[in-house]
Amino acid sequence: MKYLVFHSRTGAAAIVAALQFLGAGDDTVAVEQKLRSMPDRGKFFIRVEETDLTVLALASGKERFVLQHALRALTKQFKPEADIEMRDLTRAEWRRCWVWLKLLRAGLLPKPLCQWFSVRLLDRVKRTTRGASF
Amino acid sequence: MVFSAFAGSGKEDNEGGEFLKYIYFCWGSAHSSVTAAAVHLGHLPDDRVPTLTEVMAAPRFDQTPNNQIGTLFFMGNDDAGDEVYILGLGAQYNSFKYIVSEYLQMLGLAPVDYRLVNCLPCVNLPTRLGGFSSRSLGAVWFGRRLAAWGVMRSYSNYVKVVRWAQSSRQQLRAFLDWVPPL
Repeated sequence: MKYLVFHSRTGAAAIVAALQFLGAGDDTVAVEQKLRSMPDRGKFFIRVEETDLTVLALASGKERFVLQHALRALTKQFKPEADIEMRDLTRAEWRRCWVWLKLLRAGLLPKPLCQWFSVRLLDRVKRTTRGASF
Repeated sequence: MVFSAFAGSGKEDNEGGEFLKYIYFCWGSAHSSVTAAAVHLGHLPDDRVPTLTEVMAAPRFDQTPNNQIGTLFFMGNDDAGDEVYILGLGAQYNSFKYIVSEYLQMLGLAPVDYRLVNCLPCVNLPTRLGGFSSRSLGAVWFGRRLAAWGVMRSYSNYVKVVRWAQSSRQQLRAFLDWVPPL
């Protein structure tokens, strides 16, 4: 069993990377919809379980190393046969990304800006994950 | 007795899920969760306030460095055979605790099989200042004693939390987030 965990500060880039991994490609509409319906922090934003692979996306905030450490420790302790791989997408988010995300989730962002936000996020995630094994 | 990370969890005895896993979590897994685990395992008395020396002699008290926050430490098995762990979740423990709970369920543990016990409500100002002095500023001699003194001052709260956790065997919820009485 393999766990593939995408994480970023707000979770937005993690969602985009997970969607890309799951085959959504450059679908900005899917990205926009997923970002709008994001649950609150402390939940998995995406959780797809297949026979031998589970894909997760979550927000790690400012303490990504603590979360990485904790998830690895829990896996090692309670399911040592499982393999966990963490993908850090923090670099794909820009400084005020959380403001855009907040406005988008509140429905205060006009349509063209929503589109711009999704496209920019997709581009940055693609640039960050370029050369990665997936 | 074993209290190192990932060591001797007694997994062979726990195949059927009949033993609970108590995970006491706090900020840095150095003081409050360590004290609660020590009370749970009987290293510290639950009928009187321990002395400063007794508190400081508790296994792993004021030992976890900041770079080990997030490590799960196995502290031992209690009289009923249940496993006791401590975990530090850093400053974002409020959101991370839900992620940890969901993740444990993904790993195959049912909510009835584990308890995530928040020890931070027991922490008072001296423990906080002592912990910061010892772990972050490096003033170990002063910080350790101040933190231990703080633990002594709110020791009844730790005992209450542990008793509450121990009496939760029948409940289906995995979370125990105690709010101290005003």
